[in-house]
Amino acid sequence: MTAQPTNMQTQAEKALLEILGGQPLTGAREIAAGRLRESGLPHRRVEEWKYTDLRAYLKDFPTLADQSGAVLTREPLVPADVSLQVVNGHAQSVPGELPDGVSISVAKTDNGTAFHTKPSTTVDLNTALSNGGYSIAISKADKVPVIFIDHIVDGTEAVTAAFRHSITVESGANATLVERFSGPSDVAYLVSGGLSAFVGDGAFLTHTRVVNEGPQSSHLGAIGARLGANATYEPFVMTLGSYLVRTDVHLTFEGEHSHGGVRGATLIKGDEHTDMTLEVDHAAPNCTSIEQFKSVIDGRAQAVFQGKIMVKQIAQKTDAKMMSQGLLLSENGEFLNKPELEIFADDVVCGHGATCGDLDDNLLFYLLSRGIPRPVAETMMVQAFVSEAIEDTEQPEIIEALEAMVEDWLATRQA
Amino acid sequence: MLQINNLHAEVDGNKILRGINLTIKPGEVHAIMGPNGSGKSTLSYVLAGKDDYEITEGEILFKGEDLLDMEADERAAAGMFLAFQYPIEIPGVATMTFLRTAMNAQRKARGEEELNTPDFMKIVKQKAAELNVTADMLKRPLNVGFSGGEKKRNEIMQMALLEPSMCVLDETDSGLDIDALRIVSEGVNALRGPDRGMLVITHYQRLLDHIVPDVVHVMSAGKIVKSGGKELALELEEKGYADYVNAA
Repeated sequence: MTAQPTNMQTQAEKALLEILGGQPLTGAREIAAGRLRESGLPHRRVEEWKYTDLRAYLKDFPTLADQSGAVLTREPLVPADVSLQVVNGHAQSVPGELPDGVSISVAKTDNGTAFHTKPSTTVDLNTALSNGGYSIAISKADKVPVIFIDHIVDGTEAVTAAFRHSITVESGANATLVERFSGPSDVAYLVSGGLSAFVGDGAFLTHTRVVNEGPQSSHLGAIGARLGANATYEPFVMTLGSYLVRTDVHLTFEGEHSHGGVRGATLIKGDEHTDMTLEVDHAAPNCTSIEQFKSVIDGRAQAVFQGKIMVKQIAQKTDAKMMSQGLLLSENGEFLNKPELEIFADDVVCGHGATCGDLDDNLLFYLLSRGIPRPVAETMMVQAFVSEAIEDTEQPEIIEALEAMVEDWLATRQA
Repeated sequence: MLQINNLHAEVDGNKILRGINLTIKPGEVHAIMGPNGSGKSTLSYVLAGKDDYEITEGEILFKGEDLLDMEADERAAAGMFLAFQYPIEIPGVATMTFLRTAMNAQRKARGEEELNTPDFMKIVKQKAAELNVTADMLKRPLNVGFSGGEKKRNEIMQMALLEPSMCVLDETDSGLDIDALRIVSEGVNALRGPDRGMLVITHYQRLLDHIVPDVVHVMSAGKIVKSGGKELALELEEKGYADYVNAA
């Protein structure tokens, strides 16, 4: 008698297969779906998912949300020239009047391909499940447009909201994109939020993504960006914890003399789990990149940082510096830090650093000795720790908004 | 003002202070001199409330209250101030934010009204000018990228702003050039007053030419081994600590 080894399917995997089987898929979507059918959800024996066992974390895979009509009134995170809204994964209609140089439409499926070609479950899920999203094109204009996309999950039913936006910043153009994600506190919904960005020659894109989902939700974010020559892409990912957050950032340098400033801050508490997985591909010479991430961990929360810098053989004169720092505010918090460098060129400057520690007693004593009470002193130190990553953002309004969120988080922590 | 009785302190099982007795009355300036490792800095940290030290014996009374019972921030609000030998750099905390938070925290703890922005700015600008602290320094993160002299001037400026009743200066002269020493000393002297006590810790008599003490103590091996007038400092400068090291 021979036994066939079969993987037991989890509830979430069964539900995912049902979703994938329920819609006709073609092209890239079918390829991505095929891989998901084949291997199921990744688990801890898959290197990229070692610290975020998706098979164990996802208890279910809620059905895709139906079209949702309700547009909700919310204050944008920062004053914006264009304010867009995605409700339950569905992009709402585009405002009639748009600033000079901005064109936006709602695209259905297959929206953007700026991700690495190497398979990634986060990207595959987004490719297979996304029902499209905004397709944004920016051409050169006098004023830099600020585009705000508010992603909201609304309702009392657990749903999956899956969408992918694309943004193309054309040669010499400059744009600011701000995204926010939020949802109900008592629903175990799932978000698969994709963004594909092409930053053309001499173009500049500042991108801020704030992930502030409901505490029971799971958020799987995928950001892919390709840069032309003399281009700059500056993403900042702010993660305030929920049950599970995983964000994959893929950055590819395709032209020379471009710069990527990839930054982020994570603030988590309770039993929250976050995972920031970064892959920066230097595929052209003379490019520079800075990767700077700060994680603040309280309670029994667990933060993961996986950062890989790849320098291809052609990418001579690459200058890449990666730093990931964790600040533990409790005995039981955990920070898992995995920096990787893969260098095939011989004339490059590459470095990575990783630190993890608690609040510095000497710094704390200095503040106390000036009469600052301990809770206030701790707050100041956490703010200072996170600010180092935030303050390199160019727009003061964004810095202010991000710092206010840090302050709110600290206030709830001490409450 | 400050009364230290038979104070013993140790860190990681090493006995550092072995029975300090010292009384400072309002208006008095006391100087403590002594060789390296005699426990001078430890005494200053114990007064300010650093956690690392275990008090095994003795007591400290500050304005009649048990100082050792108070947290570091409570001591500061009660009027204790330590000017650090090595002021700490705190990246990400703007000097102005720090000053304002400290001043208002102390006022709040004493039940006084917090300062509004214009009043705060006015006071800071005035004190900063007196101590040659530039607008640029106030904008920078606390002590980050400051030279040794700038850090010490910043310490004295904080002292001037917080107006403590007991000032402990831990080797404030170390790392200062002649001009900086003069500016810092003038800043300290301006704060001398009938209601304020001072404890000046130093290696060198030089500082005491500028800040003339009422009493000079010699500390060795965790004890005060001799006390005298300001002429004691001159004698030490000439003869060194050898006599006292052996005595202890």
